[in-house]
Amino acid sequence: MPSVSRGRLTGVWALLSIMTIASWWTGSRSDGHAYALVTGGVLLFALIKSRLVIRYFMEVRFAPRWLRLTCDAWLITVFAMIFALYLGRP
Amino acid sequence: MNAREARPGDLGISASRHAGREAKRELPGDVDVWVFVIGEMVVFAAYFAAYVVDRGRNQELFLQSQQLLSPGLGVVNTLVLLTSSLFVALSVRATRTADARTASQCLALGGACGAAFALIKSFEWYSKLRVGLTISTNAFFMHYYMMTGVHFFHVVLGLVLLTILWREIHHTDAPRAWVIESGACYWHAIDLLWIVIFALLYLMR
Amino acid sequence: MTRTATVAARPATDGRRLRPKLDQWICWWSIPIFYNLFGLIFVYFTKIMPPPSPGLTQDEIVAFIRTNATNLQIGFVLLALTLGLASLSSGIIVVQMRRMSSARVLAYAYLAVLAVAALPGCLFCGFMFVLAAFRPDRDPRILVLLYDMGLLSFVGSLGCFVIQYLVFAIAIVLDKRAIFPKWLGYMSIWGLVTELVALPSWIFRGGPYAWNGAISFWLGTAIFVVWEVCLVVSLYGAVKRQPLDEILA
Repeated sequence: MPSVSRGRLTGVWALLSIMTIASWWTGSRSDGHAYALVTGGVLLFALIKSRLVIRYFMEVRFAPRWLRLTCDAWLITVFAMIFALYLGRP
Repeated sequence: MNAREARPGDLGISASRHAGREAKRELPGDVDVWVFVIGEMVVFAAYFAAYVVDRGRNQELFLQSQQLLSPGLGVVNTLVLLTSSLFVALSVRATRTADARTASQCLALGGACGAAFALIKSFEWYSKLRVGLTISTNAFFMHYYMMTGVHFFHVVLGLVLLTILWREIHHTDAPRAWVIESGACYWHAIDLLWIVIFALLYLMR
Repeated sequence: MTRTATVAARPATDGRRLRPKLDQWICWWSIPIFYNLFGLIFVYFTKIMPPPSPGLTQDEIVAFIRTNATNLQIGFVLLALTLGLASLSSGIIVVQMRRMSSARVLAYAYLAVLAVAALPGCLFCGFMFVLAAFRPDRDPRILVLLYDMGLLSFVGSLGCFVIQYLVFAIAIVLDKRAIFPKWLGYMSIWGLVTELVALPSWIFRGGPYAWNGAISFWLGTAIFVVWEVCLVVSLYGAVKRQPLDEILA
């Protein structure tokens, strides 16, 4: 079972941390009325972070296709659902 | 078997391993644990949906209530959990190279971060409860306590698992890689779910 | 050739050898029978599943009880009669759990916790509604109390089931003899979590975490149904695979 190298794992972690800060910053840009844009940005960061965790930490990158597809399907479904429900508010 | 040369984009995997990777894609951990993890992810998706639906009905209330949260604590917790995941991933890596010392050290550090998450979360709840924000305060706080509460339960379960993993490495001569991988997989799932919860509760407008 | 010689040649366990697992198969069949009855009672007759809302007004609650009175009585008397069947399912699961390499104490804990759980889990609900239907002209406030007691206990009686799922999961995961598949053990954790998210049903009168809510009721019931089906199928496999010499020993 191939492993991701230590350096790369740490790199992914650093990227995740930076994106966490970035999404925090995005979320705090809400004094205007561009709520949908802010939320979209926040969710996009969350999506990218989630996929990184799945691919590199959970090692789905090296997993059989059914697992890769299932995880991606979950990501797309969940985030699309969240954003759609968010936008479709009465 | 395709013998491809390692490209610069490959993640630090040696060329021979890269070639081997195409031939045999292995499941990290075992199938049963993945069924469990995917199931948990689907169940949490239901909690997320319930939250966003309620949010749609009470936009103003949710926006105002969100101001009462401490996003700083949320950020710290996110970073702490991400760090714990890094340590756990490093531990899995070390197990594969039969480096038991690094593996158990990383597991311990990962567990320590996990425990820190639990403590910070408890402190966060305490600070909210102290100013009278309980689960029945309003719809937002209902979701807040429920989602973070259920997640907290999973963290505690995860800490128990990490302890079992640590014992597997420490007390057996040949720690089984699939055991460590399975437990790690669960732990990363908790991290993943927190990423979404953090975005929904603390950041989403 | 005498008859006695032929008779003496037959092994003593002959009758048992023909149908050695009959007792287990009877118990196994009791599970789908019981759950179909359960569905008939709770969904068709008494209309407790899905539960009417905790947010109903007093008049609506009283109307629910009074219009349903006969069905409530039929359904819950039937429940009182047949609930004992559930003990057969506990029995066979415990027989299989005892075969596991994990500690016997888990099997006994399973048995004990389900014995306790039968009352708050469904019988109490039945009693409260049958009580309400017994004299439907009671003071409306008393009818509302009985309604609350019945439905709160039905959805909120989670502690026993948390332990049931927990001991079951631990037993399976630790079992080296693979009596049940590992994923069933992990699935039991899902069930455990659904019990935990039913906790707020004690607090809320509406929303997804109320006793009729999308999470506390619907998600919980869906997962329970899936788990039960998987359990029944796994149990079938476990009984079928059980070596005869374990039984005939």
